[in-house]
Amino acid sequence: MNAPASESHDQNANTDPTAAVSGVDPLVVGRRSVIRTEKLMRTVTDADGQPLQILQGVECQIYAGESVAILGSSGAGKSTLLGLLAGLDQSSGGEIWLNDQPLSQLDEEGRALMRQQVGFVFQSFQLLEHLTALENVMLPLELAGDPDYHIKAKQWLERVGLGARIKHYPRQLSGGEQQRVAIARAFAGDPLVLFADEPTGNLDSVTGQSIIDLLFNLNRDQGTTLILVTHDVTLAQHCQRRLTLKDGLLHEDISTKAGV
Amino acid sequence: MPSAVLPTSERKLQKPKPVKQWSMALKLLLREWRSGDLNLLFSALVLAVMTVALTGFIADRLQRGMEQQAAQLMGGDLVLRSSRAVDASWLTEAETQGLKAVSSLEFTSMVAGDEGFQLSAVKAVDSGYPLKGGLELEPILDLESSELKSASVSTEGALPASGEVWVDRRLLSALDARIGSDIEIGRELFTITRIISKEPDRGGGFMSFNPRALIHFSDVEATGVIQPGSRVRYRYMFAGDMTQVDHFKNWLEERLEPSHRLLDIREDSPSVGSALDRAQRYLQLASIGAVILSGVAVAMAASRFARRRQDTVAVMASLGFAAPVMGGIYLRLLLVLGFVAATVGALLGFSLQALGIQAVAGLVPIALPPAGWEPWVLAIGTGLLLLIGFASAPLRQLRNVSPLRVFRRDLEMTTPSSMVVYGLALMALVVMIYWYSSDARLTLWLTLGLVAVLVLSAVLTLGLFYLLKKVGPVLPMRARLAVRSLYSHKQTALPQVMAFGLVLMVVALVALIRNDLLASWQQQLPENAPNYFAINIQPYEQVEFTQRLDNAGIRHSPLYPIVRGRLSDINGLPAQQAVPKDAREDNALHRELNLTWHAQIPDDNQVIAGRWWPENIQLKADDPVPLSLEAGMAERLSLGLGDTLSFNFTGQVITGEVTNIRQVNWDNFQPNFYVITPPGVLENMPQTLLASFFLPEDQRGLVAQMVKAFPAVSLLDIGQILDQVRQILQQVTMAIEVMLGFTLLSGLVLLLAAVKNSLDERLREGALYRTLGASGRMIRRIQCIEFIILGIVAGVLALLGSELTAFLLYRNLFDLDYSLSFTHWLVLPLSGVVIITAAGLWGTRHVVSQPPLQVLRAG
Ligand SMILES: Nc1ncnc2c1ncn2[C@@H]1O[C@H](COP(=O)(O)OP(=O)(O)O)[C@@H](O)[C@H]1O
Ligand SMILES: [Mg+2]
Repeated sequence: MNAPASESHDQNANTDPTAAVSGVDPLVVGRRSVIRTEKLMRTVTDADGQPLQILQGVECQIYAGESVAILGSSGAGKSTLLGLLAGLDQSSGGEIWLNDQPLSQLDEEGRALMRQQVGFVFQSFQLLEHLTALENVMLPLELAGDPDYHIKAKQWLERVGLGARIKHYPRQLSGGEQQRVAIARAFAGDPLVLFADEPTGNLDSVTGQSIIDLLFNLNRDQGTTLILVTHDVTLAQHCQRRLTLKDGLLHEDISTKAGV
Repeated sequence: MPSAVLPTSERKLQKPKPVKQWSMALKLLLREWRSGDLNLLFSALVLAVMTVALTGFIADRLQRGMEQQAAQLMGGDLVLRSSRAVDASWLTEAETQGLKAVSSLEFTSMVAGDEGFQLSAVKAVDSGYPLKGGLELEPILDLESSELKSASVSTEGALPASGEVWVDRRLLSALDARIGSDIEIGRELFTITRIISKEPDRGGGFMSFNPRALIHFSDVEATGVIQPGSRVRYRYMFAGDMTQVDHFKNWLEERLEPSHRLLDIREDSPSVGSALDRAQRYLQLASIGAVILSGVAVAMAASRFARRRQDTVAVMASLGFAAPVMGGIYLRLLLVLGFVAATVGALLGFSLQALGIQAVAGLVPIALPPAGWEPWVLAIGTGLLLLIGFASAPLRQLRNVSPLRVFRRDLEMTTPSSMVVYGLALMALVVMIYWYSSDARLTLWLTLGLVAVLVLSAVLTLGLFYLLKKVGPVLPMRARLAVRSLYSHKQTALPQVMAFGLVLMVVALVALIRNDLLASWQQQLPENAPNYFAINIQPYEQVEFTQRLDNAGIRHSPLYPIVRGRLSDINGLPAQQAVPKDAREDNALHRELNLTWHAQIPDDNQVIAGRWWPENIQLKADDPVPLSLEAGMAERLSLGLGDTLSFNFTGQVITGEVTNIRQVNWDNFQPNFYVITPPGVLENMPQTLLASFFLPEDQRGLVAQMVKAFPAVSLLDIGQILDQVRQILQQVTMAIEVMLGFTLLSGLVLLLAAVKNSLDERLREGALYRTLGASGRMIRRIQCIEFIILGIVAGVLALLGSELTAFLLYRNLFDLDYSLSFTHWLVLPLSGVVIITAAGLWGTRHVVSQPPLQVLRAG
């Protein structure tokens, strides 16, 4: 996972450490960045037709294998940022590099290919209600053209502890179980980065804890970069880095600034 | 859903009473209206009502137009025919009931001119004639100024004055007379003053073989033709508005004697009658089709709306408005919406109809009478019925939403019991079909057909989906995902595929019947249908007559021998006594019948009882003579297989036994015969021959030559009658085209409603697929495969459904021959695929155009 510095496209970090923009730590030169943003903007029109600037120039750099918590008050724009980073939404300005690929230069086909390298876990699970747990997990594998989609999906469900419930439909599963299916689905595509938007927000604390454990175990085992949005302080404490979104800008928590 | 959260002030209405529910419903309606979620339901309703109104208005006006036209052929809305003059008080009664009444009298008489004689059909008419349509005359050429003295060819109510006679060209040339010549009818001398070019009520039938002479009613007395026992026919023609006519008809029917016959449009001119009947059936059927399509569209729109409002109701329920109360409010909202939609739809339908008819006014031969009020009631009533039958069940379900849904989104409303949904819809359908058609048989057949088709197609579709899912794993990825998506969404895919199938089926059926009806009319009256009949051709003239026609290049029928004989005895009794009382006045007993012989059954005739004789039949001297009898005559005289009939041919009697009853097509203007024998029976009887031929306009001069060359032959010009019938058929055809167009339109709306119905789900799933790495293009491809499968299934369902329904309807309703058409088998599934894929892809085009996160955020 640790790519040699010479292969990094991160020119700022590479050639002129002193010119680093905020959010990019000169000390981590040499590690491969999975996500990098520059002056990322997102403006929407609110219900009254007024422009609303949610993101006003977010700068960040996230390295392979890291676990990052994004914090911020409700409505700060965390979900918006996550969606942009995962290539699920279009920015109003600035640039995102996902695995060194500038997203703004990709067409829909290209973005779709990039999306095969990320996983997404939602607060509200977002399972396909008409498909069984197994079929839900099979989907990303099938879309990526994996011939072993059936076996792999089954294995993933077993790994999240649902081996006995593969034929069940989402409505026959509890919230925690549904989120497990969603996590299995997110990991099944063997993503480089996994985004989780308040993954425990809809769950009670015990269930939430088991989901957190599952996420971090898989993060460790698979070497996946984990970026999650949360209000949960314990969950945030688990992460190597904590970033806070405030007034449309991303600030790194002092305690994690140096990286781990 | 911010739109549905009520302002704080209204929360005080914790338990609204019914009155408050109404005002809540109205307030909510405005809000819901702005949210745009009612658009589809509203459009479906408006379109349903508009279609019904439009077709109702057009059908109504065409119906009136066609009846007017047919009444013209007959001479009045109601005609009483009698062999004796009726009591004068009957005419007075008609007038006091608000009807116009005119008497006429027809008889056949020898007319003498300076140059010769001619047997003519004399008609004496009273002032007021003609009640319907116009009598047209040839313009008079003023020889001195060489100008047309009378450019107007319409009589405008004028009639021959006393002592004057108006004649047709045929009589003029037969007598070699001119305007101003004197001719003798009976004992009286008349002066020819005008030439008739068009007589509105010349009518069908062969009563009027002879050329026409028209005199005034008051001159009949003087001719001395009316003697006791002389064969004359009185016609009393009445005209007025429908209710007056019906009323007077009832009044008359109580007083009818056996010698009277009351004619309505259908009986008097069968060729027009059956065309009218079939056209009417068609219009009914097509508007029923359009309404069924709209009904399903309304149901789909309503259930989508209800699904989207579950959350609102749950939130309101958690705020203290019990779900039943909210359900009630939504039902009221629906009712108000229905009234608005019905009114808008009816108004739109009315204006479109007025505009449309105006636009084609130049193409239609006669102006259409304005529409009545009935279509308004029909249209608005339909809107409300559709609402109750198709939209109320899904919305009622909102009453069952659990407030817990606020916390658990997965708590769906209990789906309405399908018995309730389908039961209500079926009831509404039965009521509507019966309302449109007032035909219990049609209602029964259609309902049974529909239910059978629905059940069958549901079973077939589900079976097919299951099969597809089973073979899924071996399919390539996109097909596999498409099949899985179809199977997993069977609850929405099934109604969708059935709606698609229904659209294709109804449209195919309506188009199929249209084609076959038009073709059958075309065949009945082709461009070169014979417009002349030649009768009384003597056997020795046969060769020369044929030659003349052939030399002039005129296409003609073979010459049919006719032997004239009187039906004298039935089963050994004098015919008069053998038939039931009310048949004693029947024409068949009072005049000579035309008989002929045939080895094979004539074209267009059908044996409906008994058997036709073998083609090579050789009758020996003592063999009983088999007879073939026309069905109508058999029925009127209560004759059946095995009855023996004796015919008197000027002295010679031949007795035979009825061995088959034959249905004759009276619509085709071909020579038809009441009684046919095998060859070898009548050949030695005195006979004449009959032929029909088509004379193009530019060869009309041949008529005069033929009349000169064959003085005894009567040439009957039926071109005028043909033209009138053609005009009617033309209008009917237009009505049919319009109906087809509107059925197509309702089909399109249903198509879109059905696609829209799955749109919310598809939007969310499309977004999710994309978070899982699918590109927009791949999603579109998967959807495309889904729609192709849906299209094939729908096409096949439509094919089976339309063939089945056509099979039932053709025989029972349209009197058409049903035959499987192979183009149909190819075209339906194919067009199903093309249309449904196109509509589906178009309807879901936004699924991949929005960034996925925004879609998921909204859900
Ligand atoms: N497409 C959009 N249209 C309008 N407003 C939006 C849109 N996307 C996000 N917002 C608004 O931007 C703000 C940030 O939203 P979000 O990113 O969901 O916040 P967070 O996840 O931090 O709670 C919210 O006020 C939200 O209503
Ligand atoms: Mg959020």
